[in-house]
Amino acid sequence: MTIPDILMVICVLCIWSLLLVNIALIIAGYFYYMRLEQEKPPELLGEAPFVSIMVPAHNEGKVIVKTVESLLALDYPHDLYEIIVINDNSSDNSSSLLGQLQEKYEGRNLIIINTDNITGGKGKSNALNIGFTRSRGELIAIYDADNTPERTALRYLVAEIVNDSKLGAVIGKFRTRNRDENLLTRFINIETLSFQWMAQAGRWKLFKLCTIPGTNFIMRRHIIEAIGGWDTKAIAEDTEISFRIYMMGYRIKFQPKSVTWEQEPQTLKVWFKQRTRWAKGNIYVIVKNIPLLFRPEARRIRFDILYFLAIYFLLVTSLLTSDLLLVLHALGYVHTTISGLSFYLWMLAITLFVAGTFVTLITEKGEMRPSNLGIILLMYVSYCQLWMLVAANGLYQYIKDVIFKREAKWYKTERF
Amino acid sequence: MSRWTGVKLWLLFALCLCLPAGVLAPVPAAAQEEAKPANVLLIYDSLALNTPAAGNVEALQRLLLSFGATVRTIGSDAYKPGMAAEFQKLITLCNTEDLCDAIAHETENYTGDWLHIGANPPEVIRGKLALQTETAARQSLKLSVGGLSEEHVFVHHLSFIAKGDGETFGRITSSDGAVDAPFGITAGGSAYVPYFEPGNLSEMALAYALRTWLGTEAPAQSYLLIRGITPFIDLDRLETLSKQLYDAGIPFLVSVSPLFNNTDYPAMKRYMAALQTVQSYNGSVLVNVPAPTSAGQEASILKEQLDGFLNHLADAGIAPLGMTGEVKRAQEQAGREAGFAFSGTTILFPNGAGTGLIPDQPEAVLPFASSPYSLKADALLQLSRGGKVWPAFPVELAVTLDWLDSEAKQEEVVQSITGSWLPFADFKSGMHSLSSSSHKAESLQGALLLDGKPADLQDQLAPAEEALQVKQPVQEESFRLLFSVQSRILIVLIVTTLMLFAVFLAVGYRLYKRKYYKSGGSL
Repeated sequence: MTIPDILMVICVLCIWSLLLVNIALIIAGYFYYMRLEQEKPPELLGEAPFVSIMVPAHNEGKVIVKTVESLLALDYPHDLYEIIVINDNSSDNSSSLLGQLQEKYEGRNLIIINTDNITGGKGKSNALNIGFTRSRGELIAIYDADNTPERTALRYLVAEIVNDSKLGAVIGKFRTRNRDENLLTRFINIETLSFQWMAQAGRWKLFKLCTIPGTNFIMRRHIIEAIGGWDTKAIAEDTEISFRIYMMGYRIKFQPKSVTWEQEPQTLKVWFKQRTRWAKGNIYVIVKNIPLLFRPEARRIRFDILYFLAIYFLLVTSLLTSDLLLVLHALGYVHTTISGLSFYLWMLAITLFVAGTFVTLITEKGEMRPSNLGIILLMYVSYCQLWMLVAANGLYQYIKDVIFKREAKWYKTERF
Repeated sequence: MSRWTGVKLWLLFALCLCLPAGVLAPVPAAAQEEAKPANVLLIYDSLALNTPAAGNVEALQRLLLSFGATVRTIGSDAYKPGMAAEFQKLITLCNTEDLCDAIAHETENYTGDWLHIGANPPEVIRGKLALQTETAARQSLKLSVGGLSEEHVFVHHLSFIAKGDGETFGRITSSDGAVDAPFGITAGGSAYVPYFEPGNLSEMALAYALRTWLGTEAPAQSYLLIRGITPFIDLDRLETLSKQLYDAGIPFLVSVSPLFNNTDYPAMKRYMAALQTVQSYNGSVLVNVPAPTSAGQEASILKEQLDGFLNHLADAGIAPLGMTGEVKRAQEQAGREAGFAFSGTTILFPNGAGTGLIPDQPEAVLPFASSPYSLKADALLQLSRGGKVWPAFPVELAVTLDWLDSEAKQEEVVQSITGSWLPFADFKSGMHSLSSSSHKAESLQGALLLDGKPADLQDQLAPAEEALQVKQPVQEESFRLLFSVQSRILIVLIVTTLMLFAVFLAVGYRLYKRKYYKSGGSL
């Protein structure tokens, strides 16, 4: 038995353990889906509360008008919600577009906050904190500037949170608006759907756990006040807020009937930068919250911390190590004597991936297409492997930031 | 377990370690007792580096070892008064005229046998040989001894015997007639040789002088030795050469390089097969001890490695009869015991380029039971002789032939050897033996024995290529059980999950149709 042997065994155990966890999440998520199908959409009982919708925007001229108009068209009582657009140090024509919108919808609660490079330009968390100071709703909803929520989206979220006092936040579902643009957006569409069913529905079903996705969610005002707003250092503020909500004893629920459509990156470069930011941000939050593993009041989120730890550290390290060992073995630099997995087993595992992903896909309209099977298979050999690079790059960037004590930098996703 | 039991176990363990060392005890020690070799002190004044005489100290030491003498070699600086008295015989070698007086002065009280080589013979020798010497400069000489001669030997300075009283050997004559003197002279244990440079006939002439001076009477044989056999040469050509020599009736020796690693590789198997063929064509195998490395080499490791190779040879049916190696290896006790301890038969070669003699040897170098003097074939073949027949040589000769990379050159050399009339003897006719930890090879009166049984001299068929392929060792796969269990668990889990997914797909399909398909069948 050699050191590479032992490393290989550890890697294989990590990889397969996580695979099994994800299988469990898919199954649980699917059961949740079947139960929801039999239920009616949540209804708002009693008096509707006032809601502040915040939309942080930085150079979003290409998409902001459509987003604000779709928010204005929500079927929630118009006098009971306000839209606060934080035009955060934009250098494009966002300001004038938003001004025109304000004039056009003069009677509506549409607030535009324009910041400059002194007050703003410091990332999404900072923008949200600015917007929050101007908000007056007892519930705060957040939408990204590239979103087109369905008319019922906000109502369903409000209905869920109002009907259950244990809920600190409710999250909806997001779909890919530009899914048919190219192969990358098709991959992203499949990823977002399967991610929601695996990571959100499954975790909600099994552990009553969810993570705020960054858009299309609602939360109680007093929670934000209690936690002192958004952490401006965190570039994955959603995961950070999620942990805080659970620490306060609340839950976050996933309501997939509340749907928003968002625009996803159309080029690999933009996608890579955006996902690296997510990965790095999540690593920041995980590392910061590792001590919570040992605190009793954080028992609810132990699974989440361990899950993220496993994904960003164990899985990435294991995949990279095992790949490196395989390459070195092939080149003759390293000799491992462990018996590898049989071809048969690998084929079964790939079939499982394709079938599992397809199962989650057919919950959505227009996705039950045979071509999707081919795309999932293609995704396995391309997109999934790219994710490994993203996670590794995120980890590398994070370590670099820690070593050189650099401040986290917000990357603005390019719009198309 | 008591402490005493532990000690006993350690003793037993130590005994086990000692046993192989006993098996491989140096043979020369035993030979020394039987032959009672002459005990010689060799004092030199200079190694004469970068002069034509360079290497003559080393050649002289090799000659003495070939005559079976025990030799201690020291520089004149290291000589301490009275040291010579501990030796039966003394040789002083003067390469620099200025320094010769110092040696002569230091040893003037010596009463034993004394051979002086070079200029300025000491008064003691002058007296005993009634010697008168003269000098000449820039001379083209003709050397002749024992029916052999060599012309056009150019010297800058020459001291020669003008007059002396004793048995003389050979002659030195100059082309202009200024010099016409015996090569050497000896009488009553005293001897004088004024000129000795390796690489020409003076090497052979000195051997004649030493033979008389040392009182050696045994007839000397000559053997053909092919050097530089490694697994990386053209082994087919080696087999062809063996056959050519066999057909020409020339018995021969090969000095083979040992292989210490990758002995299960095809190259090693082909090597063994080729050496087996060599043996079948009346070739005798000697194993070459690698030259000492500049970084030093652990003697015990070398001994172990050589032992392994010797065992490999024996396992392949090859009976090695001795060792070869550079003389420097024989000058170090550790190297000698590590490299030459397996056999009493050792042929020493001149040191390779970049390595020189160990200037002052702290102890005497013991002779080997059999150690023919190595002389390059081209040096011997350039000598002239009276008729076709070669005269009897003064010392056992190993006429060496380096392995040639060019087939054409090899043909040329083989032709010159086969047409040379050199009387090559069969090495197996003499008594030689070699013992490794597992095997013993020996020869006697032409018979070759391996572990007491006649060695197989039939040429084995070359092994098939398939047989030569490396068989990867069947390595025990670690974690076999873990992976086997894991695979089973995963297969069960995956298949179960796939079945569940199939149910989900069926349910999902119905839900999808009910939810999204309109009554007409479109979305």
